[in-house]
Amino acid sequence: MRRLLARRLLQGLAVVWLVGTLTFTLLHLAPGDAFSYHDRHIPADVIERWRHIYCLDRPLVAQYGCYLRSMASGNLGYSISQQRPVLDILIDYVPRTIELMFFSLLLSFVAGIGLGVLEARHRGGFPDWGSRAIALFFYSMPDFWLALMLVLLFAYWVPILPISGMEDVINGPSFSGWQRLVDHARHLVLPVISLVLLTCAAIARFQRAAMLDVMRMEFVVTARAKGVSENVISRHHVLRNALLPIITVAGLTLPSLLGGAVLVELVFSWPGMGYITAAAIGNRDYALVMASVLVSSVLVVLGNVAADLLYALADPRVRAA
Amino acid sequence: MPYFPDNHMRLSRRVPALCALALSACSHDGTSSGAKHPTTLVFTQPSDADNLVPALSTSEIAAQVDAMLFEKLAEINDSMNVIGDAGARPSLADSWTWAPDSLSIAFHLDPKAHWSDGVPVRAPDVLYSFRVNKSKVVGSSLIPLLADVDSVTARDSVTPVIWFRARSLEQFYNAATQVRVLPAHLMASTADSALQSTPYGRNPVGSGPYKFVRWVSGSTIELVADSTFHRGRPKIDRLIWSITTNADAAMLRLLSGEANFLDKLRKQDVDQVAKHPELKIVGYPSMLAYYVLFNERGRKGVGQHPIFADREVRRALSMAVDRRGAVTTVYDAKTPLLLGPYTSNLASFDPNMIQLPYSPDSAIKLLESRGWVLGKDGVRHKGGASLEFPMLVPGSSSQRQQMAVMLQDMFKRVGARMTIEHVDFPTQQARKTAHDYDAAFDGMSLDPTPSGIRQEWSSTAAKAEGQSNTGHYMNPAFDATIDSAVATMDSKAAIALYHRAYAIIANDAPGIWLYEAPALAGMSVIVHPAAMRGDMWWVNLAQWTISDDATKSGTVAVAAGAH
Amino acid sequence: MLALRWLSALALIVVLSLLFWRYAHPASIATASRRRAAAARYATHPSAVIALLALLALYVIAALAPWLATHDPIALLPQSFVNHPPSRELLFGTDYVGRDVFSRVLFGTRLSLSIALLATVLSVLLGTAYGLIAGFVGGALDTAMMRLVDAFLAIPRIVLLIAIGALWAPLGVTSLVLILGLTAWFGTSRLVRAEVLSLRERDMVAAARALGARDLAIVRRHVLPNVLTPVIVSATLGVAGVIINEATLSFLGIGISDPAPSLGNIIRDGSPFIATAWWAALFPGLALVITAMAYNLAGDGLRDAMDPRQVDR
Repeated sequence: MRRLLARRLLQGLAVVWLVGTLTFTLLHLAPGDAFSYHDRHIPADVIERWRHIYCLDRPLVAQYGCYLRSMASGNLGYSISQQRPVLDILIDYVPRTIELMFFSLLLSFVAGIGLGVLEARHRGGFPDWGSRAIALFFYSMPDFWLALMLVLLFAYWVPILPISGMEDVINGPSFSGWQRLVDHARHLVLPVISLVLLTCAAIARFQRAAMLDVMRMEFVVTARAKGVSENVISRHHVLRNALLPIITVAGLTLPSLLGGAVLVELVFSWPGMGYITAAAIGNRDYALVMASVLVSSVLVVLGNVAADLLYALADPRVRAA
Repeated sequence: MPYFPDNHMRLSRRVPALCALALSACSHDGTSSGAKHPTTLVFTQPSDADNLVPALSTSEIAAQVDAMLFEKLAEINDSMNVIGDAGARPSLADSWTWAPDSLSIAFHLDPKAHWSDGVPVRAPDVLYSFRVNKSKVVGSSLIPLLADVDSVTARDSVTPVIWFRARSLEQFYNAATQVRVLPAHLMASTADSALQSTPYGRNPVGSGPYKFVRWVSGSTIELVADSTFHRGRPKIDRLIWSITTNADAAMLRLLSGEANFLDKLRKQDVDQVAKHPELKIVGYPSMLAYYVLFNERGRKGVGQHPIFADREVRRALSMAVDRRGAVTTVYDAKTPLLLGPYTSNLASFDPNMIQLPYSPDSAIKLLESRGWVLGKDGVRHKGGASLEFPMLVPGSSSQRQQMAVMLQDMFKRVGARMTIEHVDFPTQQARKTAHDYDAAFDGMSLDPTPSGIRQEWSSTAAKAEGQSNTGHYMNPAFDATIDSAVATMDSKAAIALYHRAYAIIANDAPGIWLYEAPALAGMSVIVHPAAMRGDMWWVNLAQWTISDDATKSGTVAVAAGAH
Repeated sequence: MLALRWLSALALIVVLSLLFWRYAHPASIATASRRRAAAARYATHPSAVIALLALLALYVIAALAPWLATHDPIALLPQSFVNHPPSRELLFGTDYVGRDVFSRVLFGTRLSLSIALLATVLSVLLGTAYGLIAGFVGGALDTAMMRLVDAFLAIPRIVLLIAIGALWAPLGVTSLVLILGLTAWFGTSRLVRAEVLSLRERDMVAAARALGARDLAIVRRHVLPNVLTPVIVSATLGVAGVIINEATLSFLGIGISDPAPSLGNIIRDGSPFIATAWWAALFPGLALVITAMAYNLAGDGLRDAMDPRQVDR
């Protein structure tokens, strides 16, 4: 078990290093840097000096050396567009995305598992294909368009929820503790709903298949033959066994959720990593782009490792290996 | 790219001026808001600030916040007169005296002025601020403006003296009304090179009418009125900048009432704001000039451009464009055409400038006389070259894209084939700086100085690496005229010289002058702005009021759908 | 006149679907060739059949777009027709510069479908080749190649696309196809490699190798045919993803640039006006959802039809 963990973490480290190298290459091959469009009335020698400080005046290989050196010393770099260390920026923005991820993941699992069970129990019936059709409808939707439609709905037609930002800027400062919490939660609703709608179809589909697999197994058939009621069967026999594989999906859902968050954050003005990454790309702020891509890849890798571990815990055959 | 920060927000030239308070209008207890109902003005902005230290920040939102936190020695008047100190108003300094030879000015600081931590503002603060802004290590965008400032000394604790190397009509503007005074007692202990990373930049202490409260990155910047401000408490209690990720979201905040002010309304915004009775639109003088820029050098700055090096071809292409028609279609009939590389709100503007006429026939004749013969493909050729070129168009504005499509059509009619290259703003800037383009749909945010034209269009600016004259326009006659205009101390003579220079450059057609973009702000009807200056509408924020008197004061007549 | 054209397009769709119906007659499940049996199994899923009909209709309409459009998709109507609501003349209304949204959606579907199809073909070829090499050669090369795929998969694809798109703007159609294709093959390569690994252990491959068959011949004769099924299924599902990604890029202004319409940039043009002119963002979005959904359903149907072991997954 411990060896498995160690091996997967080591592999994860290799993947993260590769991600860093890939992003580095991608960004530095592109024309222009953070200073090539900087305030054009700054004297050229000042800009040259800055390029030197940020290691932008050297050949690509030397810049890569700079990058590795600073990474190795735990320094994520300095953001030119925000004028502060990248680490400080991540400390501000990453928790907001993780908060969004956490609630979205939680709710899409609750919704997905619920739908999957419903569909499997009524296999072939209206609840089955009806819920699958609706789920697939949202699954086939571009995230930005869904977000836009929610904006349209809640900004103009049913204006009951805030459509952007994290807080009520006007009244926020005078709120008491719990009022602030409620206000914050209200701002979370729409981004979270978008992400849940986008991801729960995949989870429901997985859950349904797992349920059907288990239903075909001998012990279920036996139980049914013995006259155990359908309710008891699905609760005690099927669901319990079908829940194990679904846990592993959690780790695999992360990349798509992180990707979806970029556009959802942009449309709802949720100042998280998606927003900061897009802004950093627009500003050619290499250090910030690389750091935020690195953070997403670390999240993805950790998600995968967690999925592996859960799977191993759930399945003794893997645990032994 | 609507969902990327619009980098046009970045200031191209100068970190804008500090709030100046009209003394007469400012009574010490003059708050229209009682203590019972604290008034809040919420600006919404589609991008975050970078740093709140004035010498370091380049974002427009920081310029607005800084204008309320920090003061300059003096402020130019609302009509943007930059010549001498005519009309200049006291700010941190309550008075000043010129030396007889005009080579130094002694400023007398208001003894009541103090930092929000209680420490009084004194001459060492001024000395420190000028030093920081001239430092190449810090890299302030004021460096070129302060080139004529030789040194700053302190005659006594409240009398800093600025010494100049040379006299000019704009010396007062360049020095006294540009540098924001910083608190030396909090900053001077930090080395210049470490200034960017000091926590002070995210938690500033200033001497302005408002005090810093908080900055939640990516979300909110909040200021509160300083009731002990030396020129009287500002009228609105709280100022909040509410940050969104994109211009559409900013617009929605205005419409939904989550914010009550949005600057830089786009055409589509105007249509929507006009439909909301609780909102109004206020216009202010535009300093935004849009034009097509030709690259007269070859690609990457090598040799001569096969098409645009020829002045007559540039003139022909200019004459092929129905500017009035295009601008009227995209904006409206009232949107002024650009007559040259300056807008009508510049003091040196010449309303009688003679323009190249719109005449496709003359354009065709001119092109033929220069050897460009129409081919079977509808495009003109000369030798091996064909009259074909790509134009860089920033993807961030629907209006500019629309106009680019119309230009394409007009060029086609005289046998020139233009293709549109959509790029984002950083790419456009980078490619212009590297001279890696043929033509570009370009915009310029002007500052109020007539001499600014030298930085943009002179031969010196063309030759220097990384300078702004990326089109390589060079004409010795133009250079000489501008140089004498800058050198003279006689304002009338200067204006005449500027007019002559404008005529030269307009005739050379280094670009196709298109239009002055309308400068419009949308706001709640309860907001009553004081005079909004063209280069910095926020300069008089401390005089703005919010009251239940919901008249549409200051509203510009904008027909819905017309603008 | 236009109605006549639409009727004939409809007739074409009906004819095509009847042809499919004849081919995939349920009676052929037991009797006919493997391929025909698969088609027949496909036809037993109502949702898959609906999806196929929708795809047929979409491709016919896309192919005939110039002939079916009510207006020029690029031409600007007079100023009074800016942001005009849907009417009998202008079915989906007009956009902010006065272009007919209906015609733009037709042409946009055409462009989006073509780009997605080309990009998917590219990614399938690339992913299959990559997976084959990794799976067949094995060893350290396999490990290295798969870690690279892991790395690519660990970067949210949309971030990758935005970065490439923004840095190398402006993108033409060709480079857009390249970028979308080059960022969509990672999953396919994993799939193919897994299939190759399992096939390698099977008797027929071992036997062929024992008989002295060369690797290339083994790949062609034994591996490729077996790999084909999962690849086709994943490609069908992949088209939906590519269409959405293309739209996202165009929406962000780094995909297809004005005035050529793609579903994404029509939505982008409409989104700032969503309050007053919702039609300009709604209809192209619906077209996009229908297209992606049809591909997803068809992919599901294909999976069931081609792999009878996994019925109903």
